[in-house]
Amino acid sequence: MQKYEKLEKIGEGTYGTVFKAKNKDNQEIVALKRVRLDDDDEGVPSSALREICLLKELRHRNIVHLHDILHSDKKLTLVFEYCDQDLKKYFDSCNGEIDADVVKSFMYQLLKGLAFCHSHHVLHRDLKPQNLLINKNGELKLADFGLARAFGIPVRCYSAEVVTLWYRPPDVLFGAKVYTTSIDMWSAGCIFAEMANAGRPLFPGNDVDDQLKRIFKLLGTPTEESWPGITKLPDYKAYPIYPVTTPLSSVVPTLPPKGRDLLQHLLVCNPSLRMSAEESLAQNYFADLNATKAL
Amino acid sequence: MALRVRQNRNVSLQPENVKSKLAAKSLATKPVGTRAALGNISNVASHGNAGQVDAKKLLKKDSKPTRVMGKSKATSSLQSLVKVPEPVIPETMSPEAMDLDEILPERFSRLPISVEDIDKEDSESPQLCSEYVKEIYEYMHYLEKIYKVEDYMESQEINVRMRTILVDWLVQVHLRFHLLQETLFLTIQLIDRYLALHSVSKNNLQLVGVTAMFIASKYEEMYPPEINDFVYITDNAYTQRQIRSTECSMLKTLDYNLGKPLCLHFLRRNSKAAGVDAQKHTLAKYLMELTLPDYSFVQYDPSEIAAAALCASMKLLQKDAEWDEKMAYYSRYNAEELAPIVEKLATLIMGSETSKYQAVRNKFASSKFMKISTIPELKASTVKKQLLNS
Repeated sequence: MQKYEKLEKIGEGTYGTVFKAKNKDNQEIVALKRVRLDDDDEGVPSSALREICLLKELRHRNIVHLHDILHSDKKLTLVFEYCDQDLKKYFDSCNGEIDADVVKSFMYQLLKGLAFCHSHHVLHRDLKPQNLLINKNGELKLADFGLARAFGIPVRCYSAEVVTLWYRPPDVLFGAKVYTTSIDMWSAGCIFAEMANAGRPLFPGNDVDDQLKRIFKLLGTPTEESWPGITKLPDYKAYPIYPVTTPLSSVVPTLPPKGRDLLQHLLVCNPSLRMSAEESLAQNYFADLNATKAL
Repeated sequence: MALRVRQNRNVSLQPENVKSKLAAKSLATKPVGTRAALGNISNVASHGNAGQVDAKKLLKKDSKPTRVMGKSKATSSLQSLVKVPEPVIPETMSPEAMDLDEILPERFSRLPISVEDIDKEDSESPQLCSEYVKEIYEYMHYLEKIYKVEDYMESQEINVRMRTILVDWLVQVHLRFHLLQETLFLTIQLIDRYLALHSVSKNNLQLVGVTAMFIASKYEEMYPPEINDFVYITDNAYTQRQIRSTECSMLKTLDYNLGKPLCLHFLRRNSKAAGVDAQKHTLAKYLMELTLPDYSFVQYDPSEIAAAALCASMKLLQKDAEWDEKMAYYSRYNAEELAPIVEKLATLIMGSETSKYQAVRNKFASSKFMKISTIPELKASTVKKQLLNS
């Protein structure tokens, strides 16, 4: 007897296929992520293992909720709360226009979810609009923890092959294997700008080289002075010194000054100077959120 | 079972045998499995003098993981056809509404004025996470209490000696596979947590052991060994299928919670607070690992073992060492609380030379671990004097 009735395929996660389904007991709509366990394979994939384990620990309204795990010899199914769409699809529906309050609300919720992860020693490592789910109440939730991992202190070396190119920070692009919560903060900055521009990605690079050029053209090329240690990174190579010519106000014209200020603190090449989620939440930009709520 | 484990140890841990077989196998096989976490990794396995190359190093060097972008290029998709309702600004935006407090039982207590803040200089070193470090340790102390292991031997068919044999063997397997320290501690922790909840026959104890290491590797390692490596290391005592089904049973029994902190996590904190040198830190690591084969240490929390190990190490290597207020604050145990565990450690050290189970001691006799298990300070007379005051 199957507890869940599959309704339709929603997409593919880092691993496994995602379906929309209905719980036959209580009619609740859920998302099923199904991983096939074949006879000759390595058992539960490590990405699934980490995602399950981390999500069981991370109970927060801005992190997708893992209801249940169905595990048999043949397959592993993760039962998630259902969200109507992801941020990428939301952008697609925006027709190039997005309400400034929605941007602020989404960014606030993204930071809330991230601050929770980071204070529970978890790095997401794959933040991008497709991995941020939005439900019909306008709640935003971090999802797809297939690349996430728990970190110890001091942080040791992890894989440098993390984060989708467009949202990958310069230190990781230069091959840094020691990184920490700042890795997610860069992605959050990129997503913030993308939201403000109703879905136009900030740094849509074609490859690592193009990605770094795009970043440096906007923010200026970092030097050993602005970022001590940069030249020692595994894949470091020198880039032309681009002068900063474009002010952020013309990159994200609809973002108010306080928002630009926050963005400026997130898009910092030197990871040790990048603002944390906790600090970001305390920025002036969010000061009027309570007032908005009162309306 | 006892016999069987020991026999396997003799058979399959012949260094050359294992290493060459492992290396050869890894070379012979295909692209490195499906490493879903990293996307497609192709292993260009066309290297000469393969026999000598360590399997894992080879993987590291040659795998060129590439992440496929999940997004089609550029966003020309702004003019989509689907019209979805605007999200309402959520009611949940008030900062009070989403605090962490519901999970954490108590907030980190404020630093006493007399205790130095050991994190205040770290804001420039991101790998130390100075901003979150206090909250994270608070959380770890909370987690270790939830996953406390109760005495389970009474209700098991296996006995203390079998567990010791298994752990001693796993220490050797771990060394042979070149895995991270975390993986070893997690392995033993998973075994104990599982045995506390699930009865296991003598014949299956070793199966539980390798499966625990299989799971721990997938959780901790960038390049975990393959399931076949674990079949091989047991000298084919178990099949892949048995390991997979034991994995399923273990994960279900543990409810997929692999996040109980390890004593390694706490030791690093304590060592930092104490400002100890590499030798003291390494000796503490050795003492922690010596406790692994000894069932009587299962009753203690990882943070207790970490604190007692460093306390003992400091006393052994520095005559006037003191477990002061600062150490009590950061480790959360004062000298009196640690005394009984330090005493047990002393007994453990004194028995280690003549013990039948030498894996940990041999491991720490290598120069990689500063030959710490062979230092004169671990002679019974010194241990008695420094740790037992007799």
